[in-house]
Amino acid sequence: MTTAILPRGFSSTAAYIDQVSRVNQQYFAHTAAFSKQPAIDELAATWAECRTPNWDGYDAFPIQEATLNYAYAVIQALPLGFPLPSVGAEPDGHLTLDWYRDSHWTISISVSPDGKLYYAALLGNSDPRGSEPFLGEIPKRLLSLIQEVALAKN
Amino acid sequence: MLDPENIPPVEKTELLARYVMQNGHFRSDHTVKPNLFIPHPYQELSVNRHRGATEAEIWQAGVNVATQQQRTLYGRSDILTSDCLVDSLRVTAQPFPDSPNHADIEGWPTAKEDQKAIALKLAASATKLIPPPSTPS
Repeated sequence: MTTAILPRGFSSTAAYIDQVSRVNQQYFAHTAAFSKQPAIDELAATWAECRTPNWDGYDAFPIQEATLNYAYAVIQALPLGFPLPSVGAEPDGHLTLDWYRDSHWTISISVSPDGKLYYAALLGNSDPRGSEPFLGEIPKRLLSLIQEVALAKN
Repeated sequence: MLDPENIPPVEKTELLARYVMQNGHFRSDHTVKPNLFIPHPYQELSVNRHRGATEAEIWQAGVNVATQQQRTLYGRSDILTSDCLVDSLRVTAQPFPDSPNHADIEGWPTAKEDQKAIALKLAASATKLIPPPSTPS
């Protein structure tokens, strides 16, 4: 599985920052508290189950490898210490990353084969939704919504 | 089951069953995920009306679908018709010869994010996964 995280720039400084970030990320990724492995494992299991057409018995589209790579990159792009999503698939061939606190505090992000992120959330009485391109980093709007769900009081 | 010769329209107070045939459609606490309610590739979402059916008949309808689709029936999630009338959605009776209680949730928006927003609301209103009677809890 390859990562699709994009570099931050082309100058020598940008390259240095990018390299240091990756080294730090690899270090923390191996610690239990910051490991993203549970989500990666769930992603792999979902891919294995949904990579062929009609995986749901209702003519679902297969999950393409490009979608898998984008979803992997989104998980890897989550800031260290962020809550991990639950991974799933939708019949249109999108992979989903869900954060769930309870039925009225939840957000679902669909990752499309072309790297677009479609999202919808329930935050109590509000239901924000929209779409954002994934360009190597998770849009701030989505990080903010995920945090709202994760930090919501029961 | 409903009389195939006399299928009444779906009323707001009716319970509907959505059969669960993907283990990724429910969480470890048995709450159902919104993915269960995404209608793609069709324009409607299949459900089974409780009306006039015994518990055994409701389950048999699910078993029939799972057998036909060669899937595992993990259970069902029930939802009130009134809870399905979100935004542009409506519920209409769509009986089949072998499934008179079949109905469709129709009127889905075309925008992906709008479908997801509705699916979240349906999942929030639906019951937890109800396992088939033979499944140990």
